[in-house]
Amino acid sequence: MRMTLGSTAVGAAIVVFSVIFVVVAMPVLVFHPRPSDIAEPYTAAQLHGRYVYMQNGCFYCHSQFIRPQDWNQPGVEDSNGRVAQAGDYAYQQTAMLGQHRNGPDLSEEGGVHPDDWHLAHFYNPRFVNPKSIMPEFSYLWTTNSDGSVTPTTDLLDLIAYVQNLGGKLGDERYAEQLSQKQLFANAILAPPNPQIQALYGVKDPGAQLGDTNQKALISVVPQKFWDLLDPVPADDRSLIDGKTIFVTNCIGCHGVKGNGQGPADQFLNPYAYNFTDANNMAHGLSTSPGSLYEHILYGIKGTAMQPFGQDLTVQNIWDVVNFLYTIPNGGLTDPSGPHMTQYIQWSPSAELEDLLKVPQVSPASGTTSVATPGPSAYRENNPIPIVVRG
Amino acid sequence: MASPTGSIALPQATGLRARGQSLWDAWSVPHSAARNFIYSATFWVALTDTMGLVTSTEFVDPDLFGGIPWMEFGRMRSMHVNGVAFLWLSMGYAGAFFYIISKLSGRPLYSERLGNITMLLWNIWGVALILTLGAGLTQGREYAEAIWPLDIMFLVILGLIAFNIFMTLASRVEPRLYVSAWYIIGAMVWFPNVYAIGNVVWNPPYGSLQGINDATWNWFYGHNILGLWFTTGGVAIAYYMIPAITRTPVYSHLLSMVGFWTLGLFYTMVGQHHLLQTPTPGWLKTVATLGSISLFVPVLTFITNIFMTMRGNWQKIYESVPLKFVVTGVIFYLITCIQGPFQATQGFNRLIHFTQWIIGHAHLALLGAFTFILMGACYYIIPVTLGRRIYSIKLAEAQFWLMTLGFLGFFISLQIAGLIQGACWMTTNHSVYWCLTAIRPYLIARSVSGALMVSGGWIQIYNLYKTATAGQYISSVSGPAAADAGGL
Ligand code: HEM
Ligand code: HEM
Repeated sequence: MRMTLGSTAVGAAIVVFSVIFVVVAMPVLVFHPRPSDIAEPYTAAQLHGRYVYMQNGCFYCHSQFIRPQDWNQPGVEDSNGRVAQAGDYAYQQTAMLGQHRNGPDLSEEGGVHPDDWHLAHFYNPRFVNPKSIMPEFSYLWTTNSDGSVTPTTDLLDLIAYVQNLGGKLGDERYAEQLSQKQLFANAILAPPNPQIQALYGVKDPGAQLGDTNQKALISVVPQKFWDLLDPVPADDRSLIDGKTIFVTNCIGCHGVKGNGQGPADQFLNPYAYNFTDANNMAHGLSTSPGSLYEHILYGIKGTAMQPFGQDLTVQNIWDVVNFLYTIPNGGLTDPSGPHMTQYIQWSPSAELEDLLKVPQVSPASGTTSVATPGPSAYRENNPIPIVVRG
Repeated sequence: MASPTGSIALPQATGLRARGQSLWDAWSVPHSAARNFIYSATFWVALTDTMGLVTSTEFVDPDLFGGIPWMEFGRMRSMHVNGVAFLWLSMGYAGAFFYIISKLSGRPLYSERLGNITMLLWNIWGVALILTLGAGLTQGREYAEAIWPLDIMFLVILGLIAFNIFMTLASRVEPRLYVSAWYIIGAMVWFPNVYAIGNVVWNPPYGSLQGINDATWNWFYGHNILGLWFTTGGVAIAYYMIPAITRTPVYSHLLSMVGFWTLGLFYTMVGQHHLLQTPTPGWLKTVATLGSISLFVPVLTFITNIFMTMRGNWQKIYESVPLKFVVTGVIFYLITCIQGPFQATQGFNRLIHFTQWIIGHAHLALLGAFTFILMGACYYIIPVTLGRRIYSIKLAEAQFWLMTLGFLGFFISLQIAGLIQGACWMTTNHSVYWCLTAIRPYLIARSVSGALMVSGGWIQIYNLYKTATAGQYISSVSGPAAADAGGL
């Protein structure tokens, strides 16, 4: 073959354009997936949030499609392992599927965390997850004259977008977050329950347990967990391992003193739990070993407490639980600690015993404004009722 | 092939502008456009490699540059990737193409001035690109981030370059087109089209489609800037440099021919191998996997041709730094293209997709293969067209070894990291964070070896600058001197 300028250029164009017809033109000619069961159009705020997501290159680290093997990505368990479908992207201009996974897949992220978790996380991801390598987006805040920070609309829209990831499923999870948060708001803030305020980090502990709201809080933890006995004996090894795990995972919110005043504190509502009250750690409501175990394993929906079940083993979690009982006696702050001498044995207070005799109701009568989310098609097979999952 | 002629003897070819010479005159000096493109590219490689280094540190210490918008990972990364791809490699290619085409035609470039104006435009485009990406103005599609006005400007630039090259070829005195010229013609026909289609330039301001087909288009484009531009151009340069420096004709015309046509055919098919696990049509994935495996044909014909040309010439890599760079690049290209088809099979892709392995592969191709080939070309073209020797062979050698060792460290640590990540996701219930802590040591190793490579880029700036201003003149312009200038 004689390769001249003309024949080479024309030949090159013919070869490539014939293939382009097959791999570029054909797909748009023949492949028009309909919107899937979860796809929905964006609101204006979500659309703008999506642009903020694009502008900051979130898609360089976070993919947005679930493969069959991706059952450990956020939200996937809630959707019963739903795999991405072509119609999920029907309303998206510019499909940001993502090619890299330096962070988790986000296609089912909506409602996995409440808004306050996102605020803290975007300000600095290390606040809620000390191991995270995500960049901080503190530049999406404005700093006020008193040094406090206010999120910009860019950020709020970004959160609106993130809470919608997963489309209708995301909306459903998000609604559940909101209603659970409402439950806590009622239980903690409605008088007269300053002690609960103290438990949830409201700084000025007061007098008595208020009992209707107690029930609401108890209902968050299923009974079978609540009276679970600690299978891992508290010994030096367990306490030391527990401390290591606490320091590498928990201090962002619960603070280096364990008093719930970590750097994320300013963004959270309800506040992170305070572990420094000896009486509460010995007899408190939320501090039974089983209750602590459940909170760490599954997280507490409606609050920034996230599940650690993926990253910690059963033994890891019990080690942390054991360790938590040393915090009032300096197990965390004492550099040589924790020691067995600092360990507090939990036993229910008399009031609590009484309270537990009352059959559990969920949600509590004191929180009638709480809308219980209806069971979704995706969760119907879920053996653990929603309220109980926490 | 045309012999090295006239240009070297020109007195004003000092490299930078001669005293008292106006810019307009300086821009008409033969090969000045090629040189200016290469100088610009050299500047950009040092700068944008440094951005890559910054990006890599954010894996190790994410708070190091925390809170500075344009240094945030997502933005810095796009500056790095676009910078190395469109400012370093592409500008360097344009310079090398100008030189090679004028050599192969036996004629000066059709218009040096136009070439230089294009060079200026491209640099302006580059500054605008980096600034817009830093400010968060993007179309959000990998390799197609540039916003719409910049897309259009880039197409104009490419058009001007193609025009200059085709006009030079049309005026050639050598009737037969050498294989490098085919590849350059191919690249100049393909790239602007791929760019326009892939960027959906008729749909401003998004530059994208609606729905999942957008991903297909994005990766048709993402793959074909690699296949129909970086590969095509790099192969063209290697096909020129190796015979020119070793003074050996290319081994087989037939192999070149097979390689060229199958490259155009098979590369175009494979975009979907980036989306093997997405909910896109299955037949596209099949086409892509078959095409990827078929790519062994253009790759092996090229490699055979080059290695057979090198037969009996291997000792010359000790004498010529450019040759050393180019041959190393060709070897890395071979490794890339052995990796590639495996990655494009469903089974293996399931293990390594999303992981740092892919980043390793991407750097093996664009850094190991084509950056090395282009650096060889820079160290050849600047001295030869100026009639000066490389200012410091020692520094050039140092650059070679910093780049090679740095790259190997970079590459190997990312491959290990990728396998760990893939296995971690597949076989454990751990979250992505937990798996990241497992690869942290390898990410640190990546940054350290990346720093070696970055220093290589800065050495090139210094060495080429000194070559242009203080390199020893080559007294004789005949025969081997040209190769000499690049070598000793
Ligand atoms: C001329 C040399 C280089 C070229 C051509 C190059 C090319 C690229 C390309 C194409 C990507 C995108 C990869 C993908 O999307 O899969 C990338 C990403 C990246 N490069 Fe480079 N690069 C070069 C030098 C460097 C250097 C010296 C470093 C320093 C350590 C570096 C660090 C990075 C990092 C950290 C990323 C982001 C990886 C990620 O998202 O996980 N690069 N580079
Ligand atoms: C036989 C040839 C090749 C084949 C079959 C091949 C195959 C692949 C596959 C399957 C991927 C995507 C993997 C994934 O994300 O799961 C990939 C990524 C990549 N390849 Fe290749 N490759 C080949 C050669 C090359 C060459 C020559 C270049 C450079 C010019 C190159 C540059 C890249 C880059 C930059 C990426 C990363 C894209 C991204 O995700 O940003 N490859 N390759």
